[in-house]
Amino acid sequence: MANAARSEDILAARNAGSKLYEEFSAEVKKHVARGLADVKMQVMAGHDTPPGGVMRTVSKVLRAVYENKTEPLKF
Amino acid sequence: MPLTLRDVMSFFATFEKSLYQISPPGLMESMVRDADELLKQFKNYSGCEFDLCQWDFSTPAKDTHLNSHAERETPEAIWSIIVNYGKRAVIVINDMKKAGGERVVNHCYRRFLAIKEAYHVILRDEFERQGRPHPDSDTPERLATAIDELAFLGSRFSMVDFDSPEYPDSTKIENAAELLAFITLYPLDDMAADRAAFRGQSGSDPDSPQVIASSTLEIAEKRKVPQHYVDVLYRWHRFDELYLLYKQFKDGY
Repeated sequence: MANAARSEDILAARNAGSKLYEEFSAEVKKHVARGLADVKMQVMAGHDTPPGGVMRTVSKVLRAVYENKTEPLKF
Repeated sequence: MPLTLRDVMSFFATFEKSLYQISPPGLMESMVRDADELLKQFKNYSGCEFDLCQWDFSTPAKDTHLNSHAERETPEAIWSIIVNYGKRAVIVINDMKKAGGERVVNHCYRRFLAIKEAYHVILRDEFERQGRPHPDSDTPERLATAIDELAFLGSRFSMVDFDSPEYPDSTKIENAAELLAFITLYPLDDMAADRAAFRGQSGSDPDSPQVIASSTLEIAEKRKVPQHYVDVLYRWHRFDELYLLYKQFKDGY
């Protein structure tokens, strides 16, 4: 029983990961359709950065860029 | 062919000369170079339109499923991003605040990262001009791989590892852009003179990390650049080599 529960947990985690990648991929493809040439970023990850954490945030930021949610910045 | 420190300095010496030629009087001579004005000159050089923006990366996603992962996001781990479409690029600086209201990315880093991200366009154009493959992240697969490398391999490498055979170009290009941005905001001739004076004055052990880390804040504040990079460059055992390469390419001897 415990093993079955554990298997379900692993499967759920894997599906969640796959769903995340699907969403990430969909966001990137919107920019590809606009003529994307390259994406670069400054990552300040630590040893405690969870797998997928950066991808989730990048996905959200790409959506904000696509939807023009960002604000102009002047120094 | 891997990207080398020599390549980077050769390119920079030429690029910097162009900046001096196309910039309005005073920009390149200023103690604190104007980042907005530098971006205009980057546009004049490359033909790329730069949209400099800010956004709080911790803003909750409206999408239900992204929200369900919100607790596992790491908005504080990404400080800036550039989305490059070729002749237009959007640079976004993370405007997230700490609990006390202070920005995660401070003013010096915001200036530095705006220039650093813009250098990715300049470098990509340079690779193209030379007919060399550039580590583009232009598909979901490539970008996901780059993110993994930056998050989990990037911490193993820094600009001081330049020319290491184990150092992937996809990570090295980040450090190349960092180095170029830093020496654009803090000219190498000035840095070499300041560094020599600093090392001459700093007690019995000028290479002591404690001495360097505790003493460079004033220099960083004067130039409005991140102190971290002052420490790295002042401490780097290859700084003299870097400076000689720069002089060699700049002065043509």
